[in-house]
Amino acid sequence: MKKNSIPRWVPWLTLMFMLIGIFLVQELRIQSAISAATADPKTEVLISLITNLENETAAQEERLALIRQETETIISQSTSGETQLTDLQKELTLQQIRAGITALEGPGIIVKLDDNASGLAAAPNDDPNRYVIHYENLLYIVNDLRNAGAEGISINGQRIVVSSEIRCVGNVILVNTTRLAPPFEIAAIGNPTELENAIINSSTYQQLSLSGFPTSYSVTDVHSRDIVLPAYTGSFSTKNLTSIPQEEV
Amino acid sequence: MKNKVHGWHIYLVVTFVLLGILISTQIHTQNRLLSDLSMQSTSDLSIMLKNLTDKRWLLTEELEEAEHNLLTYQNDYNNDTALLSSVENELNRLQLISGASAVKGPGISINVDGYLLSSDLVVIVNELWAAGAEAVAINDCRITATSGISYVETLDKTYLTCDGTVIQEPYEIRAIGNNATLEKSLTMPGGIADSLSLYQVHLNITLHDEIVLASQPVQPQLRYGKVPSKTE
Repeated sequence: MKKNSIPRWVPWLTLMFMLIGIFLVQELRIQSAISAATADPKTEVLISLITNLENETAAQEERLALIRQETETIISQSTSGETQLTDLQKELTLQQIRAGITALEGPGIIVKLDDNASGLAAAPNDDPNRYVIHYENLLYIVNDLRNAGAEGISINGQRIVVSSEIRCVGNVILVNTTRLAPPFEIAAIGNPTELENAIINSSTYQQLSLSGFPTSYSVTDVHSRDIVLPAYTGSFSTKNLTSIPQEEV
Repeated sequence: MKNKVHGWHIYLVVTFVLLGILISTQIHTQNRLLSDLSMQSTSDLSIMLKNLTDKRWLLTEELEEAEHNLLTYQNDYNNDTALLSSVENELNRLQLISGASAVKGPGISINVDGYLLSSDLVVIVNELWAAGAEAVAINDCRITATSGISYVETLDKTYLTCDGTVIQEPYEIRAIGNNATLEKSLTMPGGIADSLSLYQVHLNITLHDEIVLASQPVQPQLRYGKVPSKTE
């Protein structure tokens, strides 16, 4: 080996160390951003308040579901001779199903969507927002399923009722004010063929699949009862609503 | 020479391993970054806190009522008249919610000026629910749990549809709820009204002390879904 020539592993090693350096710096920056955010006492207080409220509302929902179930049992068991009451009971059950406060089972579809983690891995310096599922994606797919006649829908176990909102605050997706995290599983009950067509033709689903997001769906047999949607356990606000005869509209 | 392991081979292997570990931890952190509570801004966290406080309040009210109703049912188990009126009350309430009865109350009307897409309509309706709307309708189409918004295209025009029925222009969206809150949710800076105005779509919002919403005329029977039987 000549004295002044640089061995060929030197440039390699230099390059590698440079890369490691770049990654280390970025990692440190992220870590310090995290600790800066969590170190903020105000943030810490807010987070603990949020988690406390989440636990509290979850307990309330559990209790509400229990009371609704008990009420339902009493009403359905009160075998009355009055046909007027029996008719009302039937109508009540129908409205409970329609409102989504009962579980629902039947044939349908399950759509799965996840963040594009491998896409982000391949382009670590790209905007990460391009690789995550956004609330609009879920909102549009729910609308596509409704257009195909879905009789009931849930996302990650949150039943979608008439007043269910699908939104994001920061980068957190909330449904029924409950935080949801990917992967997302949208379950819908209805005619499996029609629901499948809706997903195949859904521009949201197509766009996510084409951009490399992990997406899949499975449909059941039309006679199946494999799709089970949980009951909505939240509240309905009606304090501003007054019923009027349809003729007055 | 060819098969010998050089010193730099080992260095290279070690370096690549290190690099791999670093890249994977970074991806891991970035994933965690996005949706973790600790990574949300203080203002976003405040919004979440407010929403949860509202939710707790509503749940407390509903729980009180449900408990009261349950008590009535339990006590009046054999009293047909009392049971009848309890069942009627609950039925009326559910009909308000599900859209089976026409309703009135304070709220807003939104008159749309411009070329609105069906996806915009989906976002507006969703925004109204998020702002605490208790009932929403687009023209005569009352929004229910199963309502879908779409469009049909003819040779010269695109029509928006609600529940499969064409909505005639001009579009008017009505919502019942706290009218100031409902308006603010649409007009806040960077909100839906702002982003639509970029496309020359303008939302003219009027606050009402009383506004009327139609009922959903036909309540289709469920053909596929059933309530699971309790014995299973």
